[in-house]
Amino acid sequence: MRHLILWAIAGAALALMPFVAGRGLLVLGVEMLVLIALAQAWNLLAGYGGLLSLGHHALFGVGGYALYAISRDLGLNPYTAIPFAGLSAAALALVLAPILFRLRDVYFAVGMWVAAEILRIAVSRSDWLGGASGLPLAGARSISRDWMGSFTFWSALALALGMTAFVGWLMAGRFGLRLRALRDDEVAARSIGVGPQRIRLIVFLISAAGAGMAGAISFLSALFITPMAAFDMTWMVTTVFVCIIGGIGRLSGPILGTALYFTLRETLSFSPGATLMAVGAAAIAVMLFAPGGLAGLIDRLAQLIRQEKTA
Amino acid sequence: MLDIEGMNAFHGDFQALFGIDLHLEPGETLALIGANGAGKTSFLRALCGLTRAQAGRFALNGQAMLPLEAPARARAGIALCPEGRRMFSSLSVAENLMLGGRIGRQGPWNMDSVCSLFPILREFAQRPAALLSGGQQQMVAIGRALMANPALLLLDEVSLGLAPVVVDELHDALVRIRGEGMAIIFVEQDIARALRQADRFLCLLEGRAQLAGPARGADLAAIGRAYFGETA
Amino acid sequence: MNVWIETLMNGLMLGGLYALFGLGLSLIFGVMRIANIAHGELVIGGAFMAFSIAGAVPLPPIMLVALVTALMFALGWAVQSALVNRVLGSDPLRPLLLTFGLSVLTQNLLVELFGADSRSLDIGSFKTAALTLGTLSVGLLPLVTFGLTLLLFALLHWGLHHSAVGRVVRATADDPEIVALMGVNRKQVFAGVMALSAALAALAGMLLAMRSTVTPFSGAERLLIAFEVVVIGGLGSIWASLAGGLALGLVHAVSFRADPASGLLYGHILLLAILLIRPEGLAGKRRTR
Repeated sequence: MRHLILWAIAGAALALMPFVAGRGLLVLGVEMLVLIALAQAWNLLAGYGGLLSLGHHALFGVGGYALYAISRDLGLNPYTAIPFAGLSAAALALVLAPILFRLRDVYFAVGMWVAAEILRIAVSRSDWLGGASGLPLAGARSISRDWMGSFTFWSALALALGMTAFVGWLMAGRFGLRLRALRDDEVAARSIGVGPQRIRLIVFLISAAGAGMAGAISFLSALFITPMAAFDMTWMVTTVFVCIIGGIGRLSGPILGTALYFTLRETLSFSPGATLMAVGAAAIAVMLFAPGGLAGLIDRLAQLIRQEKTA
Repeated sequence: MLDIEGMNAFHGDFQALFGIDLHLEPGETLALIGANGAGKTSFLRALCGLTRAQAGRFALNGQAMLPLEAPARARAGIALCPEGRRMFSSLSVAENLMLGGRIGRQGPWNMDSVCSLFPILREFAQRPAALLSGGQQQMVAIGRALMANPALLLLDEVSLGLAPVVVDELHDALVRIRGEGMAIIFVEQDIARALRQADRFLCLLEGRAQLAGPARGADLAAIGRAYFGETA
Repeated sequence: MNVWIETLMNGLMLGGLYALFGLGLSLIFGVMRIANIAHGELVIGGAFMAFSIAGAVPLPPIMLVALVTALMFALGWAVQSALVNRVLGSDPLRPLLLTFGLSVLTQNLLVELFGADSRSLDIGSFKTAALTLGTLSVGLLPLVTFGLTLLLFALLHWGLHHSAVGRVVRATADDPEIVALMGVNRKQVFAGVMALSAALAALAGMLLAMRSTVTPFSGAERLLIAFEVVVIGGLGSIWASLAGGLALGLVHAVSFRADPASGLLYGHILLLAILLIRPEGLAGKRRTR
C-alpha cells in the first residue's frame, strides 16, 4: 500500500513537469520515458520470458509508421492513434509468431533481428509508406503546437508508468509464476500443465504492443519519419544496455538502467563515442561482477543493512 | 593409500555429504551402497573433483587432493566411469579410449589390453560411440577410465538399465581388472552382487555413512536396515 | 548467358568469404554453446588492425595478413581467458550480454581511433586483376580468397579429426564436464577455440577490406551474415558453414543482379524459409535437445 501511494505521488509530481520545466528538459523527459517503456516491453519478453529479442527496434519503428499511416489514412488525431499503433505492432507480432516461435535462445534472437531487417527493407521499398524518403505527420495541423510538448510528455509518462505497473501486476500473479517456470525449466513447466506456446505468445503480443506505442510517441514529436530513423539499431542496443545495467528480469531494472544511461550520456555529452564506450564497458563490468545489475546490487545492499540491524 | 576424514560435499547451497571417513589400501575394492539420493554419486563426484567438497583430510598416496581441480586429480590417478556413461558421442570408440589415455600414466592398461578385456571394442573401434548399444557404451566408458591407469578407479552404476546377461559380462570383466594395486570404489544397486565382488562395503544414508565393514560375512539384515534408515 | 555464369561464379566466391565469417562463430557456438555478439567486431577489428600496421610499417600483403592473424589469435585467447571464461555457467544470457558489451565498446573504440570514414586495404593492381577464360572474366582476388577458404576448411577439418588437439576440442564440445576427468582444462580449450575464431574472423575481415570498403560500423552486418551462414548451414560440422556461406553468397549475387535495390533482403528471406522448412540447416545434424 505504501508503495502505491509513493508511486502515485511520484506520478503526480511528474505529471506537473510540463508546467515548470523548459522545452529542452521536456524533450529529454519524453526520451527517457519512451526508453523506459520500450525497455519494460523488452524486459518482459527477455528477462521474464527468456526470449531474447534483437528485433524490438523494428516493432518500435512499426509503431511509429503505424501512427503516421493511421493518422493519414483514417484521419485520426495522432494522440488517439497511439493505442492503434500499439495494436498494429501486436498484429505484426501475431503474424511473425508462427515462424519465430519455432526458435529458441540464440536462434530466436537472430530470427527477430532478421525479421527486423526484412521490415526495414520492406518499408523503405513501400510507396505507400513514402519509401526511403519517409512520411510527414499528416495530422500535424490538427494538434496545437503550444500543447504538443506537454501532451507528448503526458502520453510518454502514461505509457512508461502503465507498462511498469502492468508488468509488475502481471508478474506478481499466477501468470508471472507460470512464465518464470517456463523460462527456468520448460520440461518441468509443461509437466505441471503450463501451456508454453500460448503463454509466450501473450507475452510477445504485450511486449510488441508496448514497443509499438513507445515508437509511436517517440516519432510523434518528430513530425517526420524515415526508415533510417525508425529502424535504427541504436534503439535496440540502448534497450539491451538499459536492461543489463539496471537488472535483467527485474521490474526496477529498466528504470534504474535508463537513469544511469542518461546520466552517462549527459555527463559525457562532449563525445557520443565516449558515451557508447562507457555503455559497453559498463555492460561488461555488470556481467562480470554483478549479473543482477543495479537492482541486484540494491537488493544485496538492503539485505546487508537488514543483517546489520538484526545482528 | 586413500585417506579421507570428515568429507562434506555440496551442490550449490545443498549439502549432499556429511563427514564421510574412508581408508582404502592398494588393490582393495569397496562397494558403495545406499538408496537413491543417499549420496553415492555425490561421493564419487567429490572424489574426482566434479563436485565441491571439504574434508579434514583427503589424500591419495600421501598427496593432498583437495587443492587440486578435476584435471589435476585425474593426473594424480583418480578415474571415474560416470553415471549414465557420458560417451563423447561424436567421437569414435577408439578416440574415446585414446582420450582416456591422454594423461599418460604408466601401467598395464592400453588400447590392446582394454580391447582384450572387451573384444567387441576392437571390432567397433572406428564406429561413432553414439551408435553402440548401452552395454557396449558401458564397456567403452569403463575402458576409457582404465586407459588412464588410475590408482583409484571409481565406477558409478555400471549395470544401470542393462540386460542381465550384459550385466554378468561386465561384472566378469570387473573381477578381471582387480589387482595390480588399483583400488576400486563401485556403486551397485544389487547388494548381494556388490558384496560378492567387494572386499569391503560402505552404506550411505542421506549423505552420512550408516554402516561399513568387510564384505565377507556381512550381516544382510543389518545392511538392509542401514539402507532404509530403520533403527534397530 | 555469360552474365549469369559470371553471377553464379561471383556468388560462389562471395559465399566463400561468408563461410569464413560464419566458421568462427559456428566453432564458438558448437564448442561453448554461446553466441559471440562481438564476432562482427573481430572481423572488422582485423581489418582496422591491418590498416594501422600498414600505415606504420610498409609490409608485403602476405606478411601483413599473417601478422594480423597471429595478433588476433592472441587477442582472442586473452579475451576468452580474461572475460568470457568468467561468465560461463548455467545462464546462457550472461556470456551473450558480455559479448554484446564488448561489441559496443570495440565498435566505438574503432570510431574514436580511426574515425567513421570507409577504408580499404591497398593491395595494388592485384585488386582489379582478372583471369579471362574465353569470354568469361573472373577476378583474381575473389578466386584467391575462395581457394584460401577451401584450404582453411580442409586444414581445419584435418586438424579436428586427425590430431590429438582436435580430438580434445570435439570431446569438449560433446561433454565439457567429463573431459576434466581426462585431464583437460576446458577453459584452455575454450580460449584456444576463441583464439582460432578471432584469427579466422580477422583473416576474413582483411579479405573483405581488400575487395571492398569497411567502416567501424560494418561489424553488425558481418555478424548478421555470420549468423545467417550458421543457421542456413546448420551445426555439427564445419562443412555446414561452407554450405551455408555458399548458399547465402549465391542468393546475394543472383538477387543483386535481378533486383539491385534489394540489398540483403533475399538472404534474409532464405533464412526464414530454411527455419520453416529445415530448421536443422542445409547440412546440419538434427539435435535432440
